[in-house]
Amino acid sequence: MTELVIQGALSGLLIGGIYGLIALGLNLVFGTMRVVNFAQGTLLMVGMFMAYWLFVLTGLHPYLSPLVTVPALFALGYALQYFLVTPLLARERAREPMSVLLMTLGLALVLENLALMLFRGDYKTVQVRETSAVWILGDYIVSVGRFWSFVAMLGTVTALWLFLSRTDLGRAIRAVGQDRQVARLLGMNDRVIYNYAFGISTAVMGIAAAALVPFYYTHPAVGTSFLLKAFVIVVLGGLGSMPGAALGGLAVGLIEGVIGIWTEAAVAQILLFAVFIAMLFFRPAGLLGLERK
Amino acid sequence: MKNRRSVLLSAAALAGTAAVAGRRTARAQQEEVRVGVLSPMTGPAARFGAIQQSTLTLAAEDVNGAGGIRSLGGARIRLIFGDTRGEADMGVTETERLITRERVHALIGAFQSGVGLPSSAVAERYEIPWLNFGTVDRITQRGFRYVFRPHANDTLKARALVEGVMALARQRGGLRSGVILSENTEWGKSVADKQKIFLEQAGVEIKLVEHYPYAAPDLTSMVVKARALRPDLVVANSYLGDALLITRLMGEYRFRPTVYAAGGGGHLQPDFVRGAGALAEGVICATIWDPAVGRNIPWIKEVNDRHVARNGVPITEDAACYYQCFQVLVDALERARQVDPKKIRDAIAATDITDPNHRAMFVPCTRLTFDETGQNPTATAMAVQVQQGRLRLVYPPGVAEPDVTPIWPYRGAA
Repeated sequence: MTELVIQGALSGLLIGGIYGLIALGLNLVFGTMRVVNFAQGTLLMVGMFMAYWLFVLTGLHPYLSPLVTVPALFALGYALQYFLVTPLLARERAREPMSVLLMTLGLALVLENLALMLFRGDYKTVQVRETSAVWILGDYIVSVGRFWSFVAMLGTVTALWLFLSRTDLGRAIRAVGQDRQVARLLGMNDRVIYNYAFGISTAVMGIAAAALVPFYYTHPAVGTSFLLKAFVIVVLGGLGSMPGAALGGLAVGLIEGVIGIWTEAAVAQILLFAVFIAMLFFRPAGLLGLERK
Repeated sequence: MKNRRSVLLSAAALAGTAAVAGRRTARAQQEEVRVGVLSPMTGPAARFGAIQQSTLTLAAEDVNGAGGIRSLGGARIRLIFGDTRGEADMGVTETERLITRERVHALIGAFQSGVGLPSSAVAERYEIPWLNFGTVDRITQRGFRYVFRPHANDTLKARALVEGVMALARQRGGLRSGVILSENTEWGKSVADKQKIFLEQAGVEIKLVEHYPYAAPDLTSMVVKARALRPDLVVANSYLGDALLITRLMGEYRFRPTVYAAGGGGHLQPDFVRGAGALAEGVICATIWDPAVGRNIPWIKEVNDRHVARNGVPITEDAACYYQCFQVLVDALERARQVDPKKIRDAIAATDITDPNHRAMFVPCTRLTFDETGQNPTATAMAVQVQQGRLRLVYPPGVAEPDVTPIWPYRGAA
């Protein structure tokens, strides 16, 4: 039984990396704009289809797809913010922009149905060396694809953390997130900064997609179940906190992995959302989030 | 309200005159028989609807080309298609339209059981015979008089899978224990319950039944847990995405039960065989029909070959059942000698076909009759196995392909 639990914990932590990556994107947009991006999962789907077609048409290994997908998705995110979100945001007087939130939901539906029209409801899969490869460590088995997704998450968190704390643009993004008015008074162009934040958050989906495509399936509705997890993670780890998203992702993966061994996968889901509600109730800022007044 | 009633009244009046006129001309001249067909022509399941449509078109052309319904003076059959989009409310609306506006004499539908359940209730209310495709048991268990299912329901399908697996196992050392991994929507739950009962009756100890959340991002824990129980048999009831995930995880964790079986759904689809690659080899799956049936029964092969020549794809499991429903209706029309839906209903209820070359035996069974609920009690299913990327029919003996040797045990990627 102990062996099983350790194996469950191990695989849970690894898939938690993917959850963390998606939560990271969600958190970046929320941290700067106070907007929950319901299209985050769908943008992951867009990234996965890009990686899939790159592999099928040019033979590019999914792990190299970020070379193309990250700039492309950054541009897409930047454009979405510029053309769709900013005009809406400009009209909103309230602090929590409701119409932007609904717009992202609409965007998710449009993109998903567009994908359904273009690619049908078929489940697309690729076969690469990492697809079903494993490393055997004594009594335990580690999936190669999931391991690399974990590494990708660690790398992305570190890079984003350095970017946000060491570069001018990163500091500007954080400043706008902390107080839009003051940042503007200090001469920052908050709209351009929003464009960058949204672009980066979308670009991160390119990395998550690259990590997922080798061992998962690509389908127009694939983002939905990941997005639900990402919400839980963001609340657990702390709204707007990058390390929080990473930690939350690992925690959720761990809970799923271990509880799934003891009981059932369905029970693990119930428990997860119970934790979600409890966190909102008792510690709304999350594990690493800052308390806001 | 007043409007609606007057519309209904005039519809009834129209139907009345049509029926009277029909009776007058039936013997003298040709009469048209209108058959409504409900299928998902658009939406995610549009692929299935297209093949249902092309298969039925072929069947209707055959009947009309051979002189129509003889007892009705050579009446032609006209198919009128209604698009359900795979949605229950559209199915209901289209059923109403086909009955009241197109004045169909009988209906065939509706692929998804969720659409068929409410749509067939509309047919019942208007007293129009409904020949059903859809496997959920409950469709024929509501005390309806106008709803008929010539093919297997979920219970009969689950029994056929267990019988098939156990028959193959008998000569190969038997099976002592098993686990059932099933998705947690209505289909997965009802099928798993039945499989468990039949497997336990066959002497297999069921060590685990897990209902996992549909389209879950990860199912590693479930697979790891099932592997630790070292079962001889794994039965999965999954839609395509989950089927791929579970099969790949079983491969990663070197989980190789003697038999890897599936209740249908995702494991049957070409995308599964493609996506799981070598891991799909040896998976045994329950199906109601497969084109390989034609290897033993020449006329079935002839029909399927013509469909392939014309449409580029073979007839599918569901389209074959639509074909069978259509032929049951043709058989009933010959005996009814009139197009009154009530008389057609009585003729369908009196169906009794044993000739294996009768067109209604496109989905083979020993004897095609309907019990008081409208279900064909001898309907059964078969077992196919993935071999070299293709589905090969391995059970039952009379239907199985003559030159096929089952892969035993399941080897995974090794």
